[in-house]
Order: sequence, then C-alpha cells, then structure tokens
Amino acid sequence: MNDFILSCDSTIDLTLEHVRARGLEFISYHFFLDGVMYKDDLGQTIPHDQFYEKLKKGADAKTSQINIEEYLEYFTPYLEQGKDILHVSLSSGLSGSYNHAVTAAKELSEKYPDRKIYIVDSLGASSGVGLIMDTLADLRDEGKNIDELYGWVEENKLRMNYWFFSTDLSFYVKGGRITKTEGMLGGLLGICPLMNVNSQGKLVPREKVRTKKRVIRELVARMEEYADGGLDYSGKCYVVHSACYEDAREIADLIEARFPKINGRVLINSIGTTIGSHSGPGTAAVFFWGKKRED
Amino acid sequence: MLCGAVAALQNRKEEINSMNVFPVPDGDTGTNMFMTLDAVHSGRGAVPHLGQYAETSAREMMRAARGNSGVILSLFFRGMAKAFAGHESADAALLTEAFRVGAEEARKAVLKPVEGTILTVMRECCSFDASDNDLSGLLDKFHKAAYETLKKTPEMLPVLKRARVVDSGGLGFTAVLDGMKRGLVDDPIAIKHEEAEIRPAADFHEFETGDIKYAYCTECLVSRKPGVTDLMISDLRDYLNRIGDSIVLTEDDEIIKLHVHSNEPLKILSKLAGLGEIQFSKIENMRTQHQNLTSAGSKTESEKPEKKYGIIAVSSGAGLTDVFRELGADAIVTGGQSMNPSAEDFLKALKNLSCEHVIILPNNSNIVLTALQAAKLAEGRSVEVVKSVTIPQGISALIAFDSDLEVAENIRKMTEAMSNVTSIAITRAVRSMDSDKITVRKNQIIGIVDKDLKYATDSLEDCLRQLAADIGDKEIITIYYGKGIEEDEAKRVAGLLSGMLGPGCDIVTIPGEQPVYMYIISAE
Repeated sequence: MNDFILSCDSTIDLTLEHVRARGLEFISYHFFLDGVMYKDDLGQTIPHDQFYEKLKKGADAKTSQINIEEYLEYFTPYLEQGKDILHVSLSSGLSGSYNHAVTAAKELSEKYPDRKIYIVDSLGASSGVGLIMDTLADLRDEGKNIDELYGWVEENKLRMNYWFFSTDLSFYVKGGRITKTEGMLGGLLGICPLMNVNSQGKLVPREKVRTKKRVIRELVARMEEYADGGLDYSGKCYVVHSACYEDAREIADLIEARFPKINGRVLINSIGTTIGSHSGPGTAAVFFWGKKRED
Repeated sequence: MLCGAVAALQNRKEEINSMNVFPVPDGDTGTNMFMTLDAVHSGRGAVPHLGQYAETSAREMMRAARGNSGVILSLFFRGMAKAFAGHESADAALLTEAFRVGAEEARKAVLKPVEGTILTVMRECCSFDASDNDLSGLLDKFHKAAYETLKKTPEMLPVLKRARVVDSGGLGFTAVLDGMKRGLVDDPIAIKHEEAEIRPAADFHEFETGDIKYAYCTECLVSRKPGVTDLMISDLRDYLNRIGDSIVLTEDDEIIKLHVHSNEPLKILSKLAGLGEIQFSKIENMRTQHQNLTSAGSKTESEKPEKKYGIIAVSSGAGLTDVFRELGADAIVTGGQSMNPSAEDFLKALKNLSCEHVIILPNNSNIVLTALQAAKLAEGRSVEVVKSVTIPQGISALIAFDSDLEVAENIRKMTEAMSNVTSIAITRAVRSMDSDKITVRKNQIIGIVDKDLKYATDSLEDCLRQLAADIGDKEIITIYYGKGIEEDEAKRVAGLLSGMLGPGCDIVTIPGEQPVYMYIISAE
C-alpha cells in the first residue's frame, strides 16, 4: 500500500475502469442539465452519448465549481487513514475549483499537521490531465515518493500539449471559457477554429481553418511540430471527442500512421459532462507530451 | 427567519441575476445565493437550540455554496453560527455581535475584498449600536442600513456605476435581511420591488474599454521570504501606485497578496518574486474580457469599444455582408461592381471605429484606389489597405486575420491568403463585345476568373464545365449565389460542379444575395 494518494477530479475524461486500474482517486464536479443537478461521475449516472443527445436537442447545461466544503469532505477520509495527498486540479484558467482546493488544503494542513497535501494547478483539462495522471501513476509504480512526484508534475505540467477544434463554437461562447470569439464563429463558411490551451491554462483559438477535413490535418501537423521528437514521438497519446467518435477515430488513425514509434494505440475517450457542458458536441482534441507551452 | 430569507431570494433571484456585473458578469448571483440558502433543510420551523441549529444550517450552506456570492453568504452564516455557539437563543446584542462576526468571517475568506460589494453591505449594515431594539426592530434597522449602503455601491465600484446597477450580491444580501425580518414577525414575503428606482438590468455595453487605462488585472499570492521588511513592502506599494491602480495589497508575516490593474504585469510579478515564492498568480486582460461580453449584444457602430483592430469591408448583398460580419468585420461600406463607394464613405466608417489600427478590404479592383485615398485622408489614424480585388479574396484575407498579431504580420498573412484563392464571377452579358481574346454576344453567360473575362458560353452548364477543367485540384469551392437565384438552382449548380470536380472537393453553397453576379465562386 502507498502512503499517499494520486488524486484528480472528474474532468480528466478517462473511463472509470482506467481510473480504477491506475489506482487514481477523484472528486466529482456537478453539472446542471435543464436545472437538475447531476454528479459528474465519469458517465455512470448519465452516459455521455445521452448527455450530448440532450445538448443537441437544446438542453441547457451548466457546471458548478467544487466548493471548499466538498474538498474538505473528500480529502478528510484519506488524511484520517494517514495518507498524504497529491491532487491535480482542472486549470485555474477555466475554473475556480483550484482556489477552493487550495483553501481546503490550507485548512486541513492545520488540522492534520503531519500530513502532506499538495494541490497542483494542472493548467490543463480533459484527458490531457488524464495523461498527466496516467504518467504520475507510472512514476509512482516505479517507486517515486510523493515529494518527487509533486516536483515532477510541477516541472512537467506545461509540457502537456492540448490541441483541439470544434465544429460548433456556440457552447464555448456561452460558457465564456474562450479567450476570444470575434471572427471565430464563421458558421456560414464552416470554419472550425483550431485551438489550444495556453500557458495560463486558458483556451485560445489559434487559427481559423475551413472544413473539418483540413482542421484534422492541421491538428496532426501541430502534433508533429510540438511533440517530443516530432515524428519520432514515443510517448502516449490520448484523443477525446464529444459525440463525434468518427472524427476522433480519423485523428487516431492518422496519428498512428504518422508516428510509428508511439507508445501503444492512441487512446480514445469521450469528453465528460463537465467539460462537455462547455464544449458542446463536435469537439475533438489531441493530447501529447512535447514542447513546454510558453505563451 | 431563515425561511423568510429563502423566500425573499427565490422571489428576487432573477432581479439579482440581472444586475450581476462584478466580478464576473455571468448573471447568476441570485441563483447561486438562493441555492446556497435553500440547502438548509434541518429544523425549518421550531428551533430548539439556536447555537446547534445555526451550526448545522451553516454547514449545510457551506456544502451547498455555489459561486462567489454563495460562498460569501455561507461564510457569513458560519460566522454567525460561531457567535451563536453555546447560546440557546439570542437577544439584540448577541445578534448584532453575530452579524459583525459574520461580516468579518466573510471578509477574511475573500482574497481581495472590494468595497461596493456584498462585503461592504455586510459590514455597514451592523456597524452601529442598535442593541436597545427588540430583534425585529434591530433587523429592520440592519435592513435599512444595508439598503442605504447598497444604494451607494455604484459610487464605490465604478464597474457598477457604468452598468447603472447596484451590487448584485449586496442586493441579494439586502433581500436576505428583508426576508429574515419578515420571517421573524411572520409577515410572508410578497413579490414586490421596493427598490424600483434602481435600473433593472446591467448594460454591459456601458463599459467603454477605451477608458480602461490599465489593461491587465494581476492577482498574486506570495509566501513572504524571511527578511522582507516593512520598508520593502512600502517600496512595493509606491511602485505599484506609480504604474497602476485598484491596488489591494495585504500582507502579514507569511504572505503577501496583491491585486492591481496595470499595463506591466510581468514587471510586477518579477518584483514580487523577489519578495518570496509566488504561490498563485493571475493576469487577465480586462479589455478582451469586456469585448467578449459586448460581442454578445448588438450595438451601433458609434458605441463600439476601443480595441486593437477595426476592419472595414466593402460588400453588397445581405448574405455577403453577413459573411463579412461573422468573420469579424466591424464596418461594412456598401459597394461593389458598378457602385463604387467614395473616399468619404470610408472616412465616415472610419470615424465610427475607435480602434488603434484600421484595415480596409476593398474587395473590388475599382475600389482599391479609393480605399488608399481614404487611408491617406484619415489623418492621425493608422489605416492599412489589403488590396483585395474580389469578394473571395476579401473573405480569405479576413479568415487569415488574427487580432493577436501585429499589423505588418497580419497584412502579410492576409495578402498571402489572398494569393491562394481563385475568384470566379459568373453573370449574363448585358451587351455584345469583342476583344483580342474573346467574343461575347449579348445575353451569353460570361465567366470572369480573377480579373480576366475568360468564358462566354450559351449555357451555364458549358461555363461550369470549362471552369471545372481550369480550376483543377482545389479543395474547397464556395458558391455565393446572387439576388434572384433560387436556393434549389444554386444547389443544382453545386451538384453539377461537384460531379465535375470529383469527391476530393468540398462544396459549400451560401446565399450571397449580391447584385450583378449570379454566382461568385471561390476555389482554394
């Protein structure tokens, strides 16, 4: 047994099986679908395809940040068991939860002075943070202790690259988590903005690309440009989608063909209900280790 | 008492939502506060032991707290609960004390207390001695004081004044007090708006980003290094006063917390890094935050906020104009083939744009010179003309535009994008004509590729066939069909072209509603 836990939240967009298999713990966000509150429990309560069907039919989805009390309740049992905590949270550029986790951790440090509680601002989202957690689990299994893991993740979190596009920006615009929208909509022309997560953990549209076919090509081109070793990339790569599996499949196939040394198959996950409330359907993203995000 | 507060919030949450402009104008304050209070389920009705009841309900609120205002409200009640601890009931003195503790607890938890918010209303409403009243008299006084403070919030917080609203959280708290008072004397809430003179909804357009003197809001939390003296802190304060405003600098032995608006966030951070380890920092561009808000509403051009770029595109036809607008054009000068606008038309559009740099897309070879002329005449303004000579070129250039780039880089990218597009215009000849290259009879279909009259055919199909053979391996064909062309007909044309060009080519059909040309086609 480890004397610490690797913890994240439900926005890591991995399957429950994956999270369990890697021995990760997580705290749930909550979201509201047409005013009814649900727990984001990695698709157990509401399967993702049903969720996106509802969004397509005009259901109103809102998310709420995890508050201090929820963190207190989540962290306390582990501390009671004598375990230290390394918690990696959704980007502070997208959610206030990180600050609440920090506040909760501060309060708990006073109550449990012998325990270590590290809160990490991932400055990222979705399966990108999932890939960070997966890598942390590898390092843990290699025998690294919590201090080493904390140091490692702070050192490396900006090396996680997040590139994505959407065929419909309307949810992003409504959710307000995007740095600029002017001229990005281009629905008449079928513009799919190519976006990434910047070094402050915010979503930034980088290029307006016409047609999905071309934006998928651009996405893979960005991976070639930014991934460790370029076409020789030998790390893992995760792809996610919101109700557009075909696009994700196409991206994964392209990547597997283009990057022959990649570690295993490209893992495809569905974007969960918290991130999905802000992306809506039609988003596909790719996550890989590479150059440090600087702007 | 608490039930009354819940009812009051329920009735007024929409009103409160509509005033939510600070700190983030997301219009959810009322809902958040209501949901926070509504979570209190235990012991509604008779309260056996005040201290225990307050403790339980405060915990329930803490758990349910949503949003900043909800968290603050729950902390207020947690503070009250602390004061009530061990007491079975409260008299006026204890209630006053509980309010004060509540207000302090709420304030303590906010990294950056800002005056003119719910925090001010909480503090001011109980900042006088009224303990000689009975409980309902006391709450009445608190409510009145809260309301008086609430009315002053626009004077304390400029963002509220500009939106002509009072603070939404403060309003919510005032409603809570009103509800508590009524709950106590068993006077159920009726829906009414006694603060009716307050404008009901925020107008986000009231904020002119032009008068945002400092663009970046920086927040930072530093763990103070040993040996950092008070003198060093006061030096920092002087420095911040020189380069910014809205400064909230708090410090103790362990930490230094800063909130400041400035144009030099990085310099500030590097100064702070000298005082200790930076635990948390945030830099936000308040201009772009604001633009994201205003872009949600429709506005007349003269009210547009100051920004880096303004784009003027020449267009005619409602559909084409929509396309330009959607791609971010700020002003449209009406014009095109055989209706060329004047330099004066451009100057008028320019005058209405308050921005650092203007880029003009003339979109017609006969309009380029006029646009250049206007650029020269626009004294004191930075005006660039991207020499687009067709509508498809203008659209491609605009797609390549990126408001984050510098002017020269933008001009380069836009010009490059234009060179990758082939523009085709198809119409019917209004007269016969002979040239070296081509003979045209009146009423024939003619096709113009970029600037050259290239096809003259008896049928549209023949013209499309020649065109398809010439444009070769393009990936995206966009067909803008003109005024008087039915959608079905345009779809038929798209189908024909698609058959001729093969499956590798995406074809998009858009109602351009342009005059003169039946079809404007871009191939890229």
